[in-house]
Amino acid sequence: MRALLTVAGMLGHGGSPPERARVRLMAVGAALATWFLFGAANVLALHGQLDQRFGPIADPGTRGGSAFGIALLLLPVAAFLYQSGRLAAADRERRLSALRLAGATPREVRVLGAIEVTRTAALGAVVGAASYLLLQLAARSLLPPGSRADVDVPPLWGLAAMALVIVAAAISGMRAGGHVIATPLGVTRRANVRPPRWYGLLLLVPPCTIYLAVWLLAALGDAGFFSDGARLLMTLSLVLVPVALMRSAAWMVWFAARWVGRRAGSAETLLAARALEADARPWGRALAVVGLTVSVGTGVGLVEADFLAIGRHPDPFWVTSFVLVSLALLVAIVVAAAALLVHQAESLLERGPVLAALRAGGASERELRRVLTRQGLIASVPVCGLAVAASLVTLAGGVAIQGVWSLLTIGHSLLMGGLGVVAAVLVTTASRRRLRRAIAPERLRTE
Amino acid sequence: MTLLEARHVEKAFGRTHALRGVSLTIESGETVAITGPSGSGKSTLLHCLSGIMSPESGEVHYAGRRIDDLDETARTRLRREDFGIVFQLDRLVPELTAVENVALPLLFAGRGRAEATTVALGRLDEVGAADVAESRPAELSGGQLQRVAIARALVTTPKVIFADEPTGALDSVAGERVLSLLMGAARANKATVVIVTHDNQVAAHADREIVLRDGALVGGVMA
Repeated sequence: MRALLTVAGMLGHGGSPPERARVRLMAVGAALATWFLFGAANVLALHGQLDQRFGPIADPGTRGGSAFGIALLLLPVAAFLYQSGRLAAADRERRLSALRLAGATPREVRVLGAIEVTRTAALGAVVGAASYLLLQLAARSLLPPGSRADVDVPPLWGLAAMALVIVAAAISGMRAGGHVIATPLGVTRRANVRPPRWYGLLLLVPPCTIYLAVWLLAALGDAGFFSDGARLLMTLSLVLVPVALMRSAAWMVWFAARWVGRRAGSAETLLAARALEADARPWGRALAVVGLTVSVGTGVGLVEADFLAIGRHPDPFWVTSFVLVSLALLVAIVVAAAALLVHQAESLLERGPVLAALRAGGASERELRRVLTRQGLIASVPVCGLAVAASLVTLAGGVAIQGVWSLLTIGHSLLMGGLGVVAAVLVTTASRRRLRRAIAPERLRTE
Repeated sequence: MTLLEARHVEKAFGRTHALRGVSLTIESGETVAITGPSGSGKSTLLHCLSGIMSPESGEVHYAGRRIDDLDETARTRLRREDFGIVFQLDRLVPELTAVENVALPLLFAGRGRAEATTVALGRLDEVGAADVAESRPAELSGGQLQRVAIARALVTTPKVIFADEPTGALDSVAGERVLSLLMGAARANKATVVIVTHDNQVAAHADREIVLRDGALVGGVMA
């Protein structure tokens, strides 16, 4: 083990620029995950009633839900960590192969990979914890003097959160390299030729059926349906919506890409669709989080509209709650977009010579940029569209909305869906510089 | 008639001088091999002649028109309309089928999918690769890949075909076949061929050989 740690230390000093970028991004991901876990622990550890301006964390009864909401932000971070772990895969694979050639056993190669990821995650967790505690110190002045002692993260919880991040990152890092078999003669990839499965969509059937029935019964004036049991069933079936989105996003990306690819009339659309079809899983993973955000955002919009429809006056509790939820959604979409950006960078790194050859053969940079934009569109439109549709169907049955407020809700939902698509397309715009580097004539040199 | 001309072309990558004042002319319909040891600047010269990159100094002329000072859009259009380019292996789009790869330049030129596919199938047939039209690059052998690459280079009926080590990754038998095919197809289309190689056997197929060493022209041989 000591020898392996020495080798791991030696390997830590080298690495190509993309490999160094991977280490930095994984550390950032680990720091973010630590932040959110500390945030959730912090909310759970609060005691007593706080001022109403603290929104959902003011009341002990809503703190559990708030902590769960913060912990949900770990989903986009997990997607980000996974994509970061795959960055510079080609360089990493060459290194693994060189290690095998130098005499390392397959197990030692796996352990070295785990040491590398664990070290990075530990660094990120420490930075995340330290920065959280520093910011917390600065934010304490917001609280009334008597409640200052209540806002500390219990030390054991903090340590547990850091350990959780490190272990999860190590597992994620090992899984990211799991598709590779390193031998002394080179590296082979376990090709995943099987397209993503569609079964996840079935999970949408129960909530959609239940809520459509509720909506119909409510429209017919049968209020007797709203028993406690029915409400529980409705709530439970609601949980299936995000699960269905997460499970079926990759299939939707794959299916949309296949459908568009068969009908593509331009080179840009054909290239975009075929590249997506071959690479639907990573896109699906990142877009599942975007879809989830759109879905939750749609739900929040519906609750807000309902709130306004029945003429409640906004008190500080609700205002803060809505602001906090919107902020959380924004964070989730930004982190998911960052995961897509990392995936796009890796994809451009790998496909650079092919794209450079296309450019040499007469494709302009603008046309190749359009390929990236269309990838974002083809992938995000079905996922975000389904997220909006499923959320509207399931939530409309549960909330009595009438007249102008229903229009507001639909508008809000479309806006959320649009935001998801825009986020995915913006990622492709942000990849312009990387594309320019990927198609540089130097990538064509063979001597 | 002179089709391509380089005048005192210089190109450097950092401190490495890839080309040092190279001047040459290539006649219409001629087949020219650019040879030299590894690192002599062969590929860089091909990239400058084909407008893929611009030299730091000197001039490149095509059909009497200076092309090295054109902007990227104009050079892209020139490559799309007048040039066909064949690289070593692994330069086909891996997610597309062979026929889709061949149809790509036509689609970029604005032709419809059905028309582009028909023309691409015809080109694949010409190079003896019609049977792999629906296969993806990963399913093809080295020789088949290069046939598809040649079909892609020919699909727009270019006036000049640039080939960068087209047989570099093939065994001698497959390389010989691919080369004969490239030369035959170029002749049938009355195209000029500029081929970069470090292989004397390949150079022997050309009308003329241009030898580079350390970025400078050291000789020219008529076949």
